[in-house]
Amino acid sequence: ALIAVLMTLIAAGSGVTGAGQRSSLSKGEPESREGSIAQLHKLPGQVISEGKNDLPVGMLNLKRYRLEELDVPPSLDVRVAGRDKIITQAWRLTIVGGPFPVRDMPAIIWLDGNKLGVGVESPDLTQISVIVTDRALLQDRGKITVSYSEDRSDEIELPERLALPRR
Amino acid sequence: MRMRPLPLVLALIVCLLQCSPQSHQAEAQSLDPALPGPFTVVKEEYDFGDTAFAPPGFPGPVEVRGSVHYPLEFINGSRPVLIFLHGRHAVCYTGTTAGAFAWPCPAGQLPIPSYAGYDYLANLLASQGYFVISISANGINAADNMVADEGALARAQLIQHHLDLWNTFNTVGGAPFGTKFIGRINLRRVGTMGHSRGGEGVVRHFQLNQSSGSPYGIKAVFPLAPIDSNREVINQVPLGVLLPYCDGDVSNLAGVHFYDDSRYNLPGDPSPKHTFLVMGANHNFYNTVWTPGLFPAGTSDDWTRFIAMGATDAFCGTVPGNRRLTDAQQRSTALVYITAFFRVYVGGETQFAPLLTGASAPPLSAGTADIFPTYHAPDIAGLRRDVNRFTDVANLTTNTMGGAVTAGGLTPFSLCGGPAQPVCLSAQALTRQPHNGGLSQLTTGWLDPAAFLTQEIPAGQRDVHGFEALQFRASVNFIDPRNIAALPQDFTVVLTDGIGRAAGVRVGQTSRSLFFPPGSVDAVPKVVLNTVRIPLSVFSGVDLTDVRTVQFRFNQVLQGALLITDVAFASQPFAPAQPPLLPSVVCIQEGSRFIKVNTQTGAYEFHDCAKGITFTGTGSLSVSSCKIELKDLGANPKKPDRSVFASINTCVSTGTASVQISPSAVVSNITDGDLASGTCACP
Repeated sequence: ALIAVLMTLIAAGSGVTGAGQRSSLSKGEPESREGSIAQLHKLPGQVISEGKNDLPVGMLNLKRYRLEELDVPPSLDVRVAGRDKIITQAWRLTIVGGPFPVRDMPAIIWLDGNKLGVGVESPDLTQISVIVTDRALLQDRGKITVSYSEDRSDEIELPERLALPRR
Repeated sequence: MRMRPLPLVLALIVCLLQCSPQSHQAEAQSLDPALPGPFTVVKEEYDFGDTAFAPPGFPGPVEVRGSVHYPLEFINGSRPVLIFLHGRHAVCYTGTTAGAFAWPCPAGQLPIPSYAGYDYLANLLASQGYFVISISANGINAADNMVADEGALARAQLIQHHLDLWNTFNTVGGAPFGTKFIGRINLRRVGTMGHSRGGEGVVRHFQLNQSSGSPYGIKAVFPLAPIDSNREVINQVPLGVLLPYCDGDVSNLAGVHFYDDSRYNLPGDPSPKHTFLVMGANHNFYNTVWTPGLFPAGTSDDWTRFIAMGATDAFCGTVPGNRRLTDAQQRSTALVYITAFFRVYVGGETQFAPLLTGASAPPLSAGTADIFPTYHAPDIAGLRRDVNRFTDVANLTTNTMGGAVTAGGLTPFSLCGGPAQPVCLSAQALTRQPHNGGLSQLTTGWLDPAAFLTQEIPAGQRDVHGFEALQFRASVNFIDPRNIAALPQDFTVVLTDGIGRAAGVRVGQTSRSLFFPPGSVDAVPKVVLNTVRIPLSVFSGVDLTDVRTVQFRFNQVLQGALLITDVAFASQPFAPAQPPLLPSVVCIQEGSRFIKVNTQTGAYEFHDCAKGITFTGTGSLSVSSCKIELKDLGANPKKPDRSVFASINTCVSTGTASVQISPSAVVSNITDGDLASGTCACP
C-alpha cells in the first residue's frame, strides 16, 4: 500500500494533467504548457520595428522586413532545434516581397549570416516569416538576407538593415 | 595486352581521336520495361474530404484523397502495390491562376490535383499488373514549413494512413469501393515512390513502417528528385534515387545523400542502391500537373524560374543548342527507370536488372541515352567486394581489402567531400557539389601520362572470376585547369594476375561517365560521381582467379583531374544466373482451391475442395528468368476442351493460376503470395 501511495504521488507530479499540458516534477518549477513553433507562428504580436522600402530587390522582389514581439503565453514549452525549451519571449521576423514561390526547397532567412530558420509563407505568398526565440540573434543593424541554399550562394539582401527599438 | 606509357604527343592525339563520348558497349541488349503490359487499366478515385486526416503533431488538417490504377483482368488476383506521393507545390487554383496557399482552399478555388501528375506512370505499371495508388498531400504542403522536419513525418504518416485504408479495402471492404478489392492486393509487396519532399516522405515512411513492426512489406523505395533536409538513412531495402541534372528547385541534388549515406552504413546490408542521373531533366516535368501546357495553373519550368539567369545557360537553359529534355522525353526516362526499378524489386522481374546497374544502355523509349546509373551492390559475398572505399585517410596507403595503395605522379592525393573533410571544389557553391558532406572521395590529378594509382589485392581475395564487373565512381573535376572544358577524360584500367599477365581497358571503351560536367550558370556545372562499370569479360588474357593488382594508368590524356571513390568488384543484385532451386512439385493455393504443378514434367492436379472437384492433366512448360509457366488447352489447342494456366515466380516465390476444366465451366483463379505456405490438401 505504501508503494502504491508513493507511486501515486510520483505520478501526480509528473503525469499528463490534461490535453496539451504537462506538469513538471515538483521541484518548484512553474507549470509549463506544451507548444510548438507552429503555434508561435499563429500568435498575435506587436510590431516593434519595420522597414520602409517599397522597391523590389532580386528574384524574390524583396522589399522590407517587419519585426513583431509575440504575445507568448506564460511558460510555454516549445521544442526548438531538437531541445525542449521554456519560452517566455519570441519574435516573428517577416520579409515582405514576393510572390514567394511555393517550391520544395525552403526559403531560409538569415541575419548577419546566422540562420534564423525556414520561412513560412503567407496565404497570399507576399510574405515569409520565421520565429526567433533567441534574443541574442536579433542584432541591431543586422543584415537580413534570404536564400534557398544552405551556403547562401544565392542569397538576396534586403535594402534595409534591422533596426531594433532603443530600450 | 602489355601496356607501355604513351609518348606525350601520341597521348594527345589519341585523346583527340577517341576522347569524345563513346556509346555504351552494352553486354546485352536491354529489354524495355516501358512496353505496355497486357492488362486493361482501370482508374478510380477516392475522396474522404479535405480535412479527413490529422497527422499527429502536424499543424493542419490533411485531405485523404487518391487515385488507383489497377489491372482489370487481375481483379481476382493478389497484385503488388505501388504508392506514389507528390511533393511541395501550390495547393489551390482558380482558372489559370494559382490561388491561396492555404488548406482547405478558400471558397471559389479548387485543389490542385498534384497526385494526378503521375498518371502516365501509373497507367503503364497497372497495364503490367500493379495496383498503383497516388495520394494527395496538399494539406501537408500548406503547413510543412512550420514543422522542423519540413513535413517528412507527416508525409510518412499519411502514406501509412492510406495503406491502412487499403488494408481495409483488401480485407473487409468499405466505401467507396465496397467489396470490389477484397483479396485483390498484396500488401506484403509494396513499393513507394515520392517526388521532391514526397521523396523524403517515402524514406521516412520506410522507417515509420519498420518501427511499427512492418505491418506492410515495403520492398522498394524510390525518391524522385528528393530533398534530404533531415539526412535520414535507410537500409535493408532496395533504394533508387533519380537526380535531374537541371533541377532548378532541389538544385543541390540533395537526394544523392540517401545513396551516399547508406552505402556502408550497415554491414551486411543485402539491399542494392541506385541513383540515376538524368542529363537535361528538370524538377517539375516529372509531374504533368506541374508542367506548363499540361495543367492550367501553378506550372513552371523550375530551372528558368528559380535559377538566376538560368535561361542563359548553354546546357540547362533555353538558348539555342541547349540540351534540355522536353517534358515528354523526361517522362520517358521515368517510364523506363522507375518502372524497371519496381518491376525488378517489387515484381521480381529480374531481367531488367542490367538497366539498373548500368550493364545495359537505356532502351530507345527512354528518350535519351544521357542517363547515368550508379549502382552499389549488396554487401553479400559474391555480389560485392570492396577494393577501396576511400572513406578514411588510411585508404590512401592501405585499401579496404588491406592491400597496399601506391601512386605515382598524382597531385593532390587526398580525400575530400566526406563528413568533416574539406569541400572538394573550393570557392564553388554547394549546389555544384551535391555529394559534399556525405561522400568521401579521392581528389587527384596528373600532368604526366606515366601517372598511376595501384591497388594491391591481398591473398585470399584475388579470385574475382565470379563477379561481373570492376566498377568505381568518378567525376571530372571541372575547376581543375588540367581538364579541358567540354572534353571528357579517360584513362586505362589494368588488371594484373599472379604470373604477371596484364590486361588493360580504356575507360572510354565501356563508359561515358567521365564527361566534362556541362553548364556554366549558377547550379551548373556540378560534379556527380557516376559509376564506371567495366565488365571483367573484357580483361582478356588475365587469370581472374588470381588478380594481384588493379591499376589506374592515366596514360590516355596528357593531363587531368578526377574525383574517385567506391572501387569494387560487383555483380547484379541477385544470385547469378540460376533461379533458386524449386521442389519438383509446386503448389499454388488460395483457400480451398489449389493446383499442384510438377515443374519438371508439366503434370498438374487441380482441386476445388469446397466443390469436391479434382482435375488432372499435363501441360507445356516454359521457363525464363524467374518465371515458370504452365499452359494446357487440351489435346487439340485449336478446339480447347479446357484452359489451364499457371505462372510461378521462383525469385519471389509467388504463383497464380487460372483453371477452366471445360468450356462451360466457371474459371477458377488462384493467387498465392507465398508458395512456401499452405497445406496443399483438402481438409
